[in-house]
Formats: sequence, C-alpha cells, structure tokens
Amino acid sequence: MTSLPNGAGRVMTVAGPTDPEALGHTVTSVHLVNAVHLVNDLNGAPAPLTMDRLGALALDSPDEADLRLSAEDVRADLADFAERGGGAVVEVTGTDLGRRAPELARLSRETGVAVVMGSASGTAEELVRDLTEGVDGVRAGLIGKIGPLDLDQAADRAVALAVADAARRTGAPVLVERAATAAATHTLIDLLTEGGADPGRIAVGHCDGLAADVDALAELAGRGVFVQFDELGRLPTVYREVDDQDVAAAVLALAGRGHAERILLSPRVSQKIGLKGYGGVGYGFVAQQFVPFLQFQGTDDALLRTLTAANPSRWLTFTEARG
Amino acid sequence: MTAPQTIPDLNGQVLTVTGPVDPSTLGATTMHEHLFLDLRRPPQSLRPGENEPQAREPLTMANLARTRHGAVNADNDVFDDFGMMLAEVDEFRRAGGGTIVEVTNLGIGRDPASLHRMARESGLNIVMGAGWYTPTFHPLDMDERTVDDLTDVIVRDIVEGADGTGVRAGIIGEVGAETDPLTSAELRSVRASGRASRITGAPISFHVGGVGEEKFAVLDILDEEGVDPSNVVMGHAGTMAVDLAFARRILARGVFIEFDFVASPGSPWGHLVLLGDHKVARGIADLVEEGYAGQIVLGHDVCQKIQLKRYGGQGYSYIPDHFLPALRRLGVADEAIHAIMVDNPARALTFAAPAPSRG
Repeated sequence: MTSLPNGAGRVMTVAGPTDPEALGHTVTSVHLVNAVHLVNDLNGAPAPLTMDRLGALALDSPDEADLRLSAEDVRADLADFAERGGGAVVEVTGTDLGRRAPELARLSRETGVAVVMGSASGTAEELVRDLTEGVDGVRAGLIGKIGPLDLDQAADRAVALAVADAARRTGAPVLVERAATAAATHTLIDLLTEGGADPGRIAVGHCDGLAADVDALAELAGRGVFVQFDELGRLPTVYREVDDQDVAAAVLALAGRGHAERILLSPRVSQKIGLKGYGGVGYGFVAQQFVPFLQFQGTDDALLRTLTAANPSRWLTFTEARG
Repeated sequence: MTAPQTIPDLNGQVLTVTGPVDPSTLGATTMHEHLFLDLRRPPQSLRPGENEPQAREPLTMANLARTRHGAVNADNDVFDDFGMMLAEVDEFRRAGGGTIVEVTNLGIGRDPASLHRMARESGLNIVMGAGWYTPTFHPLDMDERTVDDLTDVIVRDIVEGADGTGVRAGIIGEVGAETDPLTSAELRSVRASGRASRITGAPISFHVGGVGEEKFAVLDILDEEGVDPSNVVMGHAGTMAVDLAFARRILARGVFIEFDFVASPGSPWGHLVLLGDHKVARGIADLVEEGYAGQIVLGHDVCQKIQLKRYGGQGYSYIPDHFLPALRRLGVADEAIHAIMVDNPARALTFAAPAPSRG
C-alpha cells in the first residue's frame, strides 16, 4: 500500500488543496465540460441549437448540440455565478462523459471560481490515483457522482466496494445517486460505511424526487449523510412531477426536524439549455432565485449560510485517510 | 353614447370574427390566448427598467434567460408579426385544434382586422374579446366612466364590431379583476361586463375575477346583472388545482374554471412561484373524478414572445401535444377530455338570449 498524501481538513480543488472556509457559496453537482451525447440515444442528425428548438429540448428531447458543454460555452455563466457571490462548483462529469481536467483547471483560473472535480470510474486503485495524483497534476476532490447502483448486480456491487475502499484510503467525500428504492439506498449507505467511508462525507444525490416524502428524506439525513437536491431550476412542464417549490418546502421541513446540516443544493446544469446563454437558469440559480425564495418563506441568514456554504464546505473537506 | 337600439338574437350561436357559427362546429378549443397584443406598459405605469436600453433590445438568445426571469423587454410584450403568428397558430391546427378564444381587449393592442385575416388564413375559428383588462391598462379617464357608459362600449363591440372594422367580439374578456381588494374601476368594469352580457347574451371570461373570497362578490354582481353562470369563465384558476375545497365552492356557482397558464417559460418572481403543470394536471384529474368534468376549460395564455415556439416556448400546441396526454396518464377518460376541450368551450361560448338590462 502506497503512503498517501494526507489531505485531511482540506478541500481538493483543481488548483490544489484549499482551506474549506475559502469556498463560500458552492453548488454541489453540475457539469462544466462534458460530452453527454456520446452515451445518449439521439433523435436525428445534429442541428444548430437555435432559439426555436429550445421548447422541444425543454421537454427532454435529446439532441447532440444540446448535450455537450465546452469551456467556451460555460465561461460566461461561471463568471456570472462568481458575480452573484458563487465561490465554488462541484463538477461531476465522469471520464466516460468527457471529463477534461486541464480545461476545468483553466476555467477555474479564468473565472476565480474554485472547481472540485469528481472521479467516478474504475477500480479503487484508479479512484485513489485520481484523488492523489490526478491527471496532468489536476486532482479529483471527490468520488462521484456514482450510480444509481443496483447492488443485486455484481458489477454495481463491485463499484460500491471500490468507492468505499477509495474513500477509506483517501478520506475523500463521496456522491452517490439515490438508488431505485429507499431500502436499496439504505443498503448502499450500509455498504459504503461498512467499507470505511465516513457517513458525514457521503452525499446522496437526486433526492428531488423525494421532496414530497419528508419522512424518507429525514431517514436518510438521520444516517448522518447529506441529502442533495440537484435538479433545481426546473420550468413547469407536465414531465416534472416535482417542482422547485416542493424542494424548498422539503428543505424547510428537514431543517425544522433538525437536519439543516445534512442538506446540499445545486441547480441542474448538464446541457446547454441549462446555461443562461441558451435561456437557462445557470450555475447562479441557487443564489439568484432559490435563496430569495427561501428568504421569502422566512428563512434566516444563518440557515441560508448553512445550506449554501457551510454544508458543501464540510462535505468536501477530506477526513483522515485510513490505509 | 347610447346602446344600439336593436340587439341581434344570437341565442344558441357562437360569434366568431367571421360571423356566428353553430357551437357544434368549433372542435377542440383553447379558451384563453392572445394572437395580437401589446402589453408594453403605458407611460403612467412603467415597470422598473422599462426605460433602460436593455429593455429595448430585440428578444434574442442573448437576453432570453433574463427575460424569462422577468426583465422587461419591449419586444417580448408585442405580438404583431402576422406571418410568425400564423406559423405559431398553425401548430394548434396541426394538433387537431379548431377554435381559439382570443381574449385581448381594450388597452392591450386588440387587432380586429388581423384576427379576421388570421381566421381566414389559418382555417381556425377565432373568437375576439371585449371590455377592459387590468387597471394598469385602463384609460386615464376610467374613474369618470359610469357602468352604463362602459356597458355601451362593450355592447357596440359585440353588436356593431370593434374600431369601425365590423369585426364583432364574441366574448367579454379577459375582464381584469385582480386587485386585492378590487378597485372601484374594476368593480364597475365587472358590472358593466355583466350588464353587457345580459343585454347581448355574450359570454364573459375573467382575468382572476377577484382574489380569493372576492371571487364570490364578483359572481354576486353577475347574478345581480342576470348573467347565466354557464356563460362565465373564471380564468387563471391554477391555484384551485391545489385547493380543491375552494374550487368546489366556485364550481357550486355553476361557472367554468379555466386552467390557463401551463408551460410557463418563467416569471418575474423567479421560477419558484410558478405552479407546476403536474400539480395542475393532478388537480384537474381529481376534479374530474369528483364529477366536475363539465365545468373545466383550458388555455395556454400565450401573452409573451417567450411563450412562442419561435422564442423557445411551447406555443399553442402544448395542451394537445403534452398536457392532454398527461391527463390521460392520470386516468382522465377520453370522454372527460372531450368535454374539457370541445363540449365545455362550446357551451361557454354559446350566446344566451338577449335580455333588457336590469340596471
């Protein structure tokens, strides 16, 4: 077993280890550079992304031009995020979806926004290498996003074990998507924590779908893991069964039950139509729209700081590695 | 001004911009749209930013996001390109639509000649609106106008046609009644709409129709004026989908409730104040289950360019293409959907027998 650099107490950004206090407002699950079109079934030939096509794309009709983000596409939006007080973003593009570590480092330098890069593929050894050595000197700062996993499948079970092992050996935070059922999600958390992952560094993503089920959310938070709402910024179509009002209500209900410190918030920016340059809400959605809505509902500044800065910072802070 | 001496008897017919038609010929009908419109605020009611240079930029991808988030954009507020609107409207025809109720009225750019031409060129029936919209767009002398004076204007639009075009209004609306509590001008506009409805037999469509409990005061005024409740559409009823107890109290009055701001592209107050379409669909499904299928109507309320397909919106075909299938998935039977899209609009739009004013 190689001796690992001890990053405990620090957040690993694409620019290197940093003080958790320095992050500020952080959105916890977005894409900056990706090529999602590589793994989607697409309708027809690629066509330019013109305004008259945005309506159909908003109704989830996949399109190659829409499903790829470049540094050029997102730079202005990331700068807008910074202008609204944004300090850091967590970038969760897997290597199979076009993760480009050097470009993330460059975007971070250009905009002043800290970027924490995810690592999602491979064996425990590969995850550990990504977190400790990185690619061209750019190191991943979390494991994820992973999943959704089906632990009845041997391959998925192996992924979960590798994640737990890498988390134990590095002290890195983890982002796993919610599994198909509540029981399966709890089993996944069991497996990760038994394998050595710190529950206080595990985030369960895609919890938006549970917004109407505060009991289920509270059960997750009660495990000591984070529940992450990462699809914010929806426009109301009949295909969105949960809306942002529901998530806001769930956030406040969870906080009311004492789980404020277990909540993470992120807009969904994974394709061009999520960017302001294409009519979307952008990386700044939480600061620009979600926070004012929570304030309108009576949320005080202390809780807002917890939700938008303190929680992401705590989640992303490496714990002691346990070789 | 005095009311015309002879009121034609349109009892049993629907009055479109090309003339009266049999209600059975309307087909699928969207009850609340705008095709030609100018929602730029008058000088006395400018919104923050209305005079800024950025508000005068043409609406493009570059300013779409901020316009969706409510930044004032003059281009966004105007529908005046006939060719573009024909293409948008044609999407509704393609999706099986037969009739559009165009509730643009005084002060917001009603364009009778263009509506008449649109009906001819699109092959759709178009029913034109009359009366007054919200206080922001009332004429400056509104406080000096009497109920009878306002009534006369509406009656003339229905009987003689609007603005000297001969194109007749077939519905009174969308009648603005949104202030809480209602202003004197809104109350007079409501009463004049009721009086003109009784005199001509024309239906009425409300913009809000009073906030909360004041809806009942509005309905009381219509009762006093002798309006048949089956000629009354309470528009912008979205929140009734999540307050079924309130919906039942309104429905008990015999009027139609209209869910009409689906597929919203955004809002000045952020996306979060918008009621999700799924909740609206769920509420409708529940009301249908309770037996209210005969009192529900739908519309897109396309009133900003950002709602048009050309500008990234869902246009006039979202209801047939996406919303009705969602209702079906929630268990709403075809029979109920036919009621909502065809039978109810036909009944709501059918003129009652003209009667002398009680006023």
